[in-house]
This record gives sequence, structure tokens and C-alpha cells, in this order.
Amino acid sequence: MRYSIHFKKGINEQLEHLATEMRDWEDTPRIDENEKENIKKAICQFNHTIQADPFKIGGVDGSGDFPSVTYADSFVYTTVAHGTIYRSDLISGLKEEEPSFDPIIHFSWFPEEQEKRVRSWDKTFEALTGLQINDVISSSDYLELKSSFNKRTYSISNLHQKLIRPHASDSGNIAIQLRSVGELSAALQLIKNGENVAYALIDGTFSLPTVTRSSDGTLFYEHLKRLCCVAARKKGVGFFALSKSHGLPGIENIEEIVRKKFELEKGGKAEHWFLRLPTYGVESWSLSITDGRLLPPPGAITYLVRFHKNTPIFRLDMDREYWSKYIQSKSKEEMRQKERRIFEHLDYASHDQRCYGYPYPIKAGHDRASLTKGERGTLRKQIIDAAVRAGMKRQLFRNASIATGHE
Amino acid sequence: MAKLNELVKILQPRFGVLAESNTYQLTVIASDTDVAVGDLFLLPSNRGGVERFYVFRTTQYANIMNRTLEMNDVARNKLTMPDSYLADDLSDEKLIELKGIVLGYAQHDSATDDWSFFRPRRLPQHLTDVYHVTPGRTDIAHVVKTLMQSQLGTDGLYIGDLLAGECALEDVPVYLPTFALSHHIGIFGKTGCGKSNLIMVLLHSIMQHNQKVVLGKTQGPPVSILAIDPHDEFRTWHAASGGSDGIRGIVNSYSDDELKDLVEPFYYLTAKNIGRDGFAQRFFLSRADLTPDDLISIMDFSEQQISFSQQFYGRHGERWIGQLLLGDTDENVVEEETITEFLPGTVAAVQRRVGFLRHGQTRLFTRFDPEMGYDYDSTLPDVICAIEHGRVLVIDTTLMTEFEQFLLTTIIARVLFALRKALRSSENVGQLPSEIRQSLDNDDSNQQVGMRSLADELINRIESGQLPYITDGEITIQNNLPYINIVIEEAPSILNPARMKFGSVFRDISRQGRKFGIGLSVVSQQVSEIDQGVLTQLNTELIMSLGNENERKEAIKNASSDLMGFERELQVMGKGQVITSASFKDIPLPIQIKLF
Repeated sequence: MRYSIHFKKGINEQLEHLATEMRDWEDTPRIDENEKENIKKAICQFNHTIQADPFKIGGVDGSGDFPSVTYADSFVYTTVAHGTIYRSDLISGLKEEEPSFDPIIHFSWFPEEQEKRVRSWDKTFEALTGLQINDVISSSDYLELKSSFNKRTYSISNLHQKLIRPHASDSGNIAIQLRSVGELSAALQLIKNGENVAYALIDGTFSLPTVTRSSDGTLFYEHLKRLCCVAARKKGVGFFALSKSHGLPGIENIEEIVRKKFELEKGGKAEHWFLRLPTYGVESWSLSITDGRLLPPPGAITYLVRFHKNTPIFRLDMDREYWSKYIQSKSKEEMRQKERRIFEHLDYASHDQRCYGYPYPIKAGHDRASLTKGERGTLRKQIIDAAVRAGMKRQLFRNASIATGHE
Repeated sequence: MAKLNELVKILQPRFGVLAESNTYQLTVIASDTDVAVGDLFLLPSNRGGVERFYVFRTTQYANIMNRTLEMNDVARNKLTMPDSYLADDLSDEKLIELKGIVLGYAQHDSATDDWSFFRPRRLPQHLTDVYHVTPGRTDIAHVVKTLMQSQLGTDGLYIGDLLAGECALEDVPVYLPTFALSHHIGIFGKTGCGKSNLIMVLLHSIMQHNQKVVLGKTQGPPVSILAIDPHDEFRTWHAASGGSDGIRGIVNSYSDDELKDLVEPFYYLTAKNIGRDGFAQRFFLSRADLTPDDLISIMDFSEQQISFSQQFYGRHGERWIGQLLLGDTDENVVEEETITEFLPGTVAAVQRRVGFLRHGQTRLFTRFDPEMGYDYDSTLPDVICAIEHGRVLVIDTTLMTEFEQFLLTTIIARVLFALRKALRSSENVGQLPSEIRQSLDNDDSNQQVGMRSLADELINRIESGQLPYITDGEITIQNNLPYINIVIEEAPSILNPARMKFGSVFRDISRQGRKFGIGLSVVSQQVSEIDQGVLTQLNTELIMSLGNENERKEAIKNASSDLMGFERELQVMGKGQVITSASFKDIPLPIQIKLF
């Protein structure tokens, strides 16, 4: 970007305006005394857990190259997802187990032409999940959630037909879809095939972007996410989504309430605590920081949790039905005990030095799935080499950005 | 012969991948596997369309992490983060990084369908797969043998098995060519590192070789070795404690014909009074076998003392010790002008130095005074004859003083050297006796007595055929005589720079012995104490665990082949482990010597 003085003046004016807006928004008191008291009561502490009864915990993450190569108006995208399973171990904290499923790696070819693109998307969804699309939609409880929210019925075939399938060049949306489907497919495998796994963790949330829309247009990964919840609850697996960058405003107010509750000095940071956000139909109070947000998401329960003072407050989403079945109790104390037990297990899994304060299985899944620059380059070369061997011309595969000096 | 692809199939599974590499050092990234410094790896390469296998030897390795924090950060975190751990991931997260050197490469010659080995002048391709030479895998051992055959040897003297890290590859034997014994060998190692076992294995291999020569299973010549045995162990080895029998056991397994061809008249000589016990015999030398040079080679003499001794020997020849011990020097003073120039103190000093040869003070030397009835009586001619027939001779020196031990080695070496030179100098059979006499300082026409009795004995034995210097009426070609090797135990005592200053038979042999088929085996705990002139003449070094860094440096400095990359190996070598370095091999080879 050329940064001329004339141009700079305009930018400065814009930035000043932006800052004023942000400050005004920030200054607005967001939590009243009554709410503070409710938060204080809801906050619960759990033990720093350095020893745990034997349990297994899995984590998944997805990645890829979006796109890997292009030719004409078609694109080849690479999706990678990896799941890991660890068991608690006296010597090494966590010890990885041989996975009973393979990592996911898939190459998708998306041409711009409508019919072929739709076919290619469907092929990709089925390849990544190993399931028919209709089976995913019908086995998932997403349809029920959507119906219940919008007070209307949806047919499986319509939902299948109206799945959102971005254009071949819409790499931003394609990346989100592919990464999510890859990651959730790996999670589904982990839930289904992992033996005696108590927890399956993913990086993200249980938000369902189109669940509140009345239209038939949905995202495939929404169905898949809910299918994971269904499968997990059937096996008694705690399938949780952990988000480290949830972006909730006024989070520091909650931190301050926690600090005071635990009687820490000013500036101190409390750790090993959790707060279940008030849930419609469960709690009678509401949290102002979630105003205007669908939080917890439909079908989910949301917690805020801090494992260690040096890591941020995480948002943890879990399936509401799992929660009802395995955590919700008549006695408040009993329920707290069950919640504590889960967070203590997660805390135990968060003591690897490589990501102290964050569950290591997710980090391990991320490390396995993420592609280095070199690996991306190698994959691109392999794709092109295969195409050339199949009779295509090498010069068809162009990288316009490099060719025009944009990369 | 198998080609690259076939051999790669055998080597599976892959161990790692070549990372950064240059002509100085290779780096290999591999899964978390139990490896050791010194482990061997094979790297197939097809660079330039030429099939090659590079042999990589690791000199150091490190634990590394895949994609995670730097290892040091993890360690720091583990220390400072309360109750933290490092989760135990599956092997692909914990990796090891090996660094090491290319020993060389084997290249397939499509014309001959054979693999030839070359020094490391090239590098394998980028990201080459790396295969571990896993001990216990006979199929991999076979690949190693195929690729490194020219370095390992296929015939000759078995010395041990190729060492890969801590383990020997039992199916990959390493041989020394027999001619190595006619050159000079250095055997260096600290006390307890297994030098005696190494020599025992070598003696056994020589006996096996000689047996094969006699049976016509391998081409000659046979090999003779004179092994000084200061602890009297080679004969019976560990038989007394229920272990394996030594040379005696091998000899006992021979048939009558083999005993005749391979052992007679003896294999074991001792200063003990055993008379003649099978193939063991009392060993003694005559004072007449001794020259001033022999003494000068093993003990301190001033220039005046040397001069006096040599002149005295020149006058009295083989009787010089007797005359000197009798104190019969005044007469000479009157008669011989030159001797009168020596001070009485010089004469007395020489008398003191030979005092240990007085009758009753030595078990090794017999008196020599024909006028008094003490004729020439020595086993030296028998020893010379035996050695020239291809024999393993063990001389027990437990009852000898250190001087006597050194002296007998010196005398035998000098006489053999002199005889081989005389043989080479003779153009015909008629000339041989005079050449032998000259080489033993005996020239009656010039009233030079020298070692007349020994010369007479040896010439008689040549005529009787006991000393095989005449074959079918012609001078025997040296190539048909055995390679001779003389083991010098505690070598620094006689091969140190101070001792070599005034000349030594060993200096001559170290420089010229090869020409006459005579080699020395220099056995020592220290490399640094040995004369540099001798060290530079060594063609083969068998280096075992050494006592300190200085000795290791000296061993590396003086090795016949480049030992770069073996520094760490020398430091950690266990008992019986040897690094062989030889001018006739392209690369040094680590070897495990089997317990005899």
C-alpha cells in the first residue's frame, strides 16, 4: 500500500472516529449489581489436577490448503484433519494411543460450472465423512433443532438439495466448510472408533449459523456437528468444543468478579474456575454480555472456563442433551461435583508444557493436521505431477498470484 | 549380484530421511528409535543415474521434537511450570536427529554386475531414505557384506566382526590380508581392553591360514609370528579355569601330518626347565648370539660405551661377552692401540651393563667358551628354521627379566632380518654362505670372527634343508618364504625415541622390513611414547580403548586412514572393540573381537 501524506490524513480521521466509537461502547456498563451477584453464585472452582483416575481423552483439528492449485476456472482444495487419543499416565502425564482410525486427507476438485460443482461438493462431503449426505442429515438432530426454532418442518431431500455449496473461487467460505467438515469427520471417527474415550474435544464452538434461518439453506457441517453430538451422547462421550477466541465483550468484568470471589489481590488472576452461562429453560437469570448473541447456541450448553492464569478464559460448548443426561442433577451440589470432575479431567489434560493451560490433545491434533509451507508446496507439486501423468499439460496449472507478482 | 532396488527391498523398513548434508557432515532425521553412536546406515542413491549405496556412520545424535517448541524451551517450561509434563506422543512427534560422516560409497558397475567401494568423494541425493544396519538381521548383514566386501576382505586373517554401534554384525566378518603381517602393525589399547584376546584371535587365524595353505585351500605364503607372552597365557589360555584351551588345544586337534607341517619342532618356548615336552621346549640363547647393537637397542649406553663395545666385539666376535665378563680387557689395552683410548670407567660401565649375562644370573643365556668346553648351545637356529617354515611361536617370558625379554626379541629380529637380506643379496647358491657370514659379521679372511658359530649352524641347516633357503638347487624366492611378524610387547621400552637415537635393529626393520617380508607388531598402551619414525612406518593400526585424550589424539594423528568422526568412538569403546585403520583399506572399520 502506498502511504502518501494525503492518504494518511484520511486514514487518521477514520481511525479517530473508530476509536471514539469503540471507547463509547466499552464505557457502557454491561453488568449490573444483581447480575454480578448471579455470576458470583454461578462461578465454581475446581482443583488443580495433577493426578487423575485413568481416563482417555481425544482431540481433533483440521487444516488444509485452500486452494492448492487452480487451472482454468476450477480449483483443487486439500483438506487435512487429524485426531489423537491420549490416556492419563503416571509417568508422562498423557500417553498417546495408537488411533483406530486414519487421518483424513482429501483433495477436492471444484469447477465453476454449477452442476459439476454441486456434484463435487457432495462427493467431497461423502468422502470426508464416509457417509451418505442424507444419512448425515437424517441421523443428526440438527433438523429437529431447526424445526423447533423456526416452527416449521424440513424435508431431508430439500435440506440436501439446498446445502450451501460455495462457488469454486470462493476460497474463504470453502476453507471454512472444508476445514469444519474435515475436523468434524475426524471427531466422528474418534467418537465412534475410539475405545473407552471419555472426552472428544474440538477447537471451536457449537454455533449453528443457519439454524435460526427459516430457509432450507444450511451448512453441511452444521448437520455433521450435531451428528457428532448424537453419536457422542449414545456412547457417553463428552464431546466438547473449546474456543480460545470467542470474542465475548466485557469478559474482564467477569474476571474481576471471579477475582473478588476468590479474594485475590487487585491485578491477580483467578484460575481453575468455570461458569455455566445461563441457559434458557434452566436458569431464570440472563447474562448481559450475551445480549444479542445466540449463546448458548441451540442444542448446547456453554461454559466459560479458565484452567491457568496465563491462558485466556475459554468458552466450552457441550451438547445440551449430554449435559441433561450426564451432568444435570436434582441436587445442585451433585451437579457441581459432576461438572468439577469434567473440568478437573480437562485441567489434567492441560498441563503439557507445550500448551500449558490448554488441553494438549487438541494442540496435538492441530500439530498433526497443520501443513507447513513446504508440505503445501510438496502437495501442490504432487497434484500437478499426477495430473501431468494423466495427460494434462503442466502449463495449465498456474498460480496467478505468483505470475502477477502478488505473492 | 543384487542391484540397488533389490537391496533396498531387503533393507526395509526405512529408518529416516537425509536432511541437511555436505561433504563434511550428514544429518538424518528419524523416528524415536534406540540407536547408538557408531551405528551404521545405508543410503541408496541414484544421482546421475548411477546406483550407489552410501555408508553413513553416526557420530552424535540428539532428541528433537516435531513441530513443537524448541527442546530447550520445553525443558525450561518443565522446570518452571508447576506440575507440568510432556505428553508422550506416538513416535512421529518425538524424533531423533543423527549427525555423522559418510564412510564411503559402494557403486554398482553394470558391466561387471559388481559393487565397488570408494572413498567418500560424493554425496547422496536430497532427502534420501536412510536404512539402519540392524544387528541381528542376517539379511541386512548380507547387504553390508555385498556392498563393503572390498573393505571387509574375504580371505586372510579373521580378526573380528564389523561393529555397528554397540553390537557386532556377526555375519559380517572382517579380515586382514596376510601380507599385512609382513608390514608393520600397531596394536594400541589400555590395560584390560582386550589386547591379549586380540593377539590370541590373531594367532588362531594365522594357524588357520597356515593350515589352509598346507591343505592347498588358499594360496600361500604361510605366515610366521613370534609372539612374546609375558603372562604365559597363549599356550593354555583359559583352560585352567574351565575355559577354552589356547594354542595347545588347536595343536592337539591336528593330525600327525598337520603337526609335522604346521607345528614341528615346537610352538611353545619357555625359560622354565621343562626339557622337551611335546611341542613345548626350554628356550635359551648363547652369549655368542649377542652383539653390542642388541644391547644398545634395549638399554642406555653412552657414545663412548657404544664405541668401546663395538670395538671389543670387533676384536673378539662371539666371545666378546665372555671376555668382558672375565675382565679380560687389560691384555687388549696392551695389544690394541685403539682400545687403550677408552677410560677404565667406560670399560667398567660396559662390564656392569652386561653383568646380567653372568652365569647364574640369567636363565636365558648359556656360556660360550669353546676352550673351556662351553660350545655354542642355543635354540636360536631352531627358532630361525621354524619361523622360516611358517610357524606360530609363543615364547613365555614370565621367568625372564625385562632386559632378557627385550633382548631375545631383538636378537631373533636382527638375525632374521640379516638372513633375509643375505638371501636377497645372493645371486646363486654358492654365494649364499658368504653372504650369511657377512651379515653375521663373520669374515675369517679378514680375521673378523663375528657370530661365527651361529653362521656355521645356519649354513649347516641350509645344507641339510632345515632352513629352506635353497629350493631345487636355486636360491629360494622370498615370495615363497613365509611372511614373518615379530610381536614387540611393551613397545615403548625399546621403541622410544631415546633408545632409537643411537640406532636400533627395530629402526632398520621398521624402515626396511617390508622389503624382506618381515613386519613388526608394536603392542603398547601408549602411542605417544613410541618413536615417530616407527609410527610413520605402521601400515595397520588396531586401536582399542585408550587411557586418555592425549593418547587418542596421537592414535588419530598417526592412523593410516582418516579417523575423523571416530573420536567419540575411541572414547566409548568397550572391551574387545577395535578400530582398524590400514593404508590398504579405504576406510577405518570398527570391529568387535570375539572372545577366544
